[in-house]
Amino acid sequence: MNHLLFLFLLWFQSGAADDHFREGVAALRAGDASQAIAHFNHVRESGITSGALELNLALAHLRIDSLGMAAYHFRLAGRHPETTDLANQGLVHVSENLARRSPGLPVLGLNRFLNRLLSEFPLQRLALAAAGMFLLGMGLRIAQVVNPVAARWPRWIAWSGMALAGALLVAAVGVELARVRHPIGLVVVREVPLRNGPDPAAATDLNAFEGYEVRVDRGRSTPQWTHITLLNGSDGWVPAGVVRIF
Amino acid sequence: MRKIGDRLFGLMLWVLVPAAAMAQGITVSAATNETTLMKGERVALNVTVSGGDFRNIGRPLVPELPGLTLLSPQPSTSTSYSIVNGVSNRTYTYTYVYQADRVGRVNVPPIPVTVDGTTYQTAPFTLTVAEAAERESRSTDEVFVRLEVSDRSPVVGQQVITELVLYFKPEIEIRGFQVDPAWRADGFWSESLTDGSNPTAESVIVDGVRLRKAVLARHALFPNRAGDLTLSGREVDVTLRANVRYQDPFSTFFGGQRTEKIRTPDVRLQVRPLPAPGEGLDLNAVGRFRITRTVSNPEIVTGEAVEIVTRIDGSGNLALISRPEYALPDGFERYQPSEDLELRPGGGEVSGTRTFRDVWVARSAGTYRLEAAAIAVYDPVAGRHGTIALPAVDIVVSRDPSAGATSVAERPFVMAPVAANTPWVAVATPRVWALWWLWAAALVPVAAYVVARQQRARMDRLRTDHGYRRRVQARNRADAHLAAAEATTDVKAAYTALHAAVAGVIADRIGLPEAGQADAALVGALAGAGADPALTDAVAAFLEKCSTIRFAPVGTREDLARETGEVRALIIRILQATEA
Repeated sequence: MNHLLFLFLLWFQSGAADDHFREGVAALRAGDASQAIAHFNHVRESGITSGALELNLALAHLRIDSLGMAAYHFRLAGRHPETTDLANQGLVHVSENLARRSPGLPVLGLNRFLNRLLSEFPLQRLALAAAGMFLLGMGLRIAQVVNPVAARWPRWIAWSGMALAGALLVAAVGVELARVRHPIGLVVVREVPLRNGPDPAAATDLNAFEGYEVRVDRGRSTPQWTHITLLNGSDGWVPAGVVRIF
Repeated sequence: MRKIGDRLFGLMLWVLVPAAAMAQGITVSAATNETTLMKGERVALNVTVSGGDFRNIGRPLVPELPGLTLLSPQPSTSTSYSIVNGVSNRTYTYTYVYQADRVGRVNVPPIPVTVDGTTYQTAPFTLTVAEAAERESRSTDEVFVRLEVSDRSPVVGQQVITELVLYFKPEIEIRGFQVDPAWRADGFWSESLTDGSNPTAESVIVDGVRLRKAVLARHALFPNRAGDLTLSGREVDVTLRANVRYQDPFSTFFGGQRTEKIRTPDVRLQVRPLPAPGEGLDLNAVGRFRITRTVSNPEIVTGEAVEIVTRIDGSGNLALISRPEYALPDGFERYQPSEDLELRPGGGEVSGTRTFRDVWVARSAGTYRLEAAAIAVYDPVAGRHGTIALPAVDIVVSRDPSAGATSVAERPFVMAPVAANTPWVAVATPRVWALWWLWAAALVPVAAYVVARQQRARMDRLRTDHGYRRRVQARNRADAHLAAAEATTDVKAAYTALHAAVAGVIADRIGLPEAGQADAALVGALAGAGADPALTDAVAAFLEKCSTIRFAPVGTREDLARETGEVRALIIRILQATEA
């Protein structure tokens, strides 16, 4: 039902979205990056997006030297197959510039693994595999009901397939729940102090810089403060809004 | 007489000590038991000959010493003998006693000593004779402590040595002491120089009175601000025994041991501000230092780090020295500097090494120069700043061969906006549990499985339950009879088939035997199954009609077709009535 509702809204909004997209491209070509960003964001705020839109948004932010936001939109554009290659080229360029601007950060292997799991792991493919295994298992079970055979191997395959499907589904749901609680984001401001508490007067040990990939803890965040963990394991609170969540 | 004595002593020495056991080397020396003495005091001058291979010693000819009177020209003698690691050594000592008659300095000239025909000379030295004070002037201060400082007007950061000194009269025996640990030196960085060993006492003359002194504690203080700073007094608990007389056997038991709490007076220091250096980097360094600067690896690739290590080694205010700030070349980023301090207390002052480490990460290729620098260091002895030069160091940064382009300048980024839009999708990626196809993939097979199981159960029952199969297939059997009735040209045979259809469907649906049932029994069973009276009446009428039709005139085909239709409707009503 929700899917149908979305398709209806998509059809309803796509006309206006196309108009804003064209105007954004024209503004970007004319060198008015801010106007282009406004048009593109208008489309995004309506709840729809596209690979081209994300790529153009990244280019527009690149024009105004907002490397963190550019990296954010390049990574979103990379999720669309039709713009993956261009997005990767842009990410390389942005990463080189961010490396010049932001100090390097030692990376803990566990944090890198968690961040990749929470941001890049293909959960839908996992769910698709679970569905396939379940269909295989149930198909064999139905075939056995319709036409029982004496051999045991169809039953074993059926139950194994369904058990594997259940395990995959549990894993997918578990990771998805973790993503809800701990989404991955990017720091999009030049520099922000990482404070020991959700308080502007709290002590700070180090700063987070533009382009840092962080893991957000929504359970410890407040409307004004976001709790983040850096790749080196340091954690703390930063003002809400300085981190863009994927 | 004196010569005879000397010869006898030499002969005795020659007899007692075998020549084979004597070692090589002869030394002669002269010393007194006090270097400072008061007028009227006696002092012993010891002339010592030591060595392994000598047989005959001529008595030393001590000179006349102005201001001192030789009490007896006949010296007392003593000898000792030792063997260490198979090497023998003898020591022969002549002791002359003098009395100080006049205040002043007395130079003791070299004293000739003849050993086995060879004349040796002792080293000269000097004695000091002081005026004796009135004995009663410090008669009440048997023991007191002082906080003695090396400099009362240091500059900020200068090392000042403080000593907590205990003074006591020679006839006092110190049995123990306890220094108050809660002493504070506000305004100073303090470092203890006490090594934990027991203090040793030495004889001194204070205000004309012979006393003994012992240093109980030693600190190095570094004032960290200018102005009048006060060192508060320190308290010492001293356990002492007074009036010890070794000749008196009762003094050991009745000597009067007691503990006194003594406090030093406060000491005020006037700390001067550290003058500004005329040149060089000002790190607030005060003392004597050696400063070096090294670069860990002057040839690196982009992304790697160089470590600039500044090492300050020496004696002075190491802990108060600030970090040297070097100009960061373009193309580098500063990253987490560190520093450490290693102190080496001992030797009467604080010394050690202060190390500053700057980590710079190279971001672009090129040759960079860490410029030469000069560090200003204040020398408190000279009272002025000096500079220590640090030479320039070149750092060569190469491009990382494993990386692609390393900077924007080397590879400008050109990407045109994408004008052709791609398919619209939702901004928010649906969660796993919101995927419709996942739910479909779960529910459809389950529903199919349920249906399959039901069908399987029905098939099994049809195969094994005869009554059920008759009940389910009653309609089909009735339709077969109706088809036979429609197919035949014999009207009577057709009615027989119609009768079989109605009777059969009633028997199959209610579970009566398939044959041999009277019409009345069939109608009664139908009524017993809950059929309404109109239906039972209609069935009874039709069965009666079938029984009598064989005696009736033959009807037309149209009558039979109409009758077949009515029977088909009647069978449907029977099926509906027996549905439960």
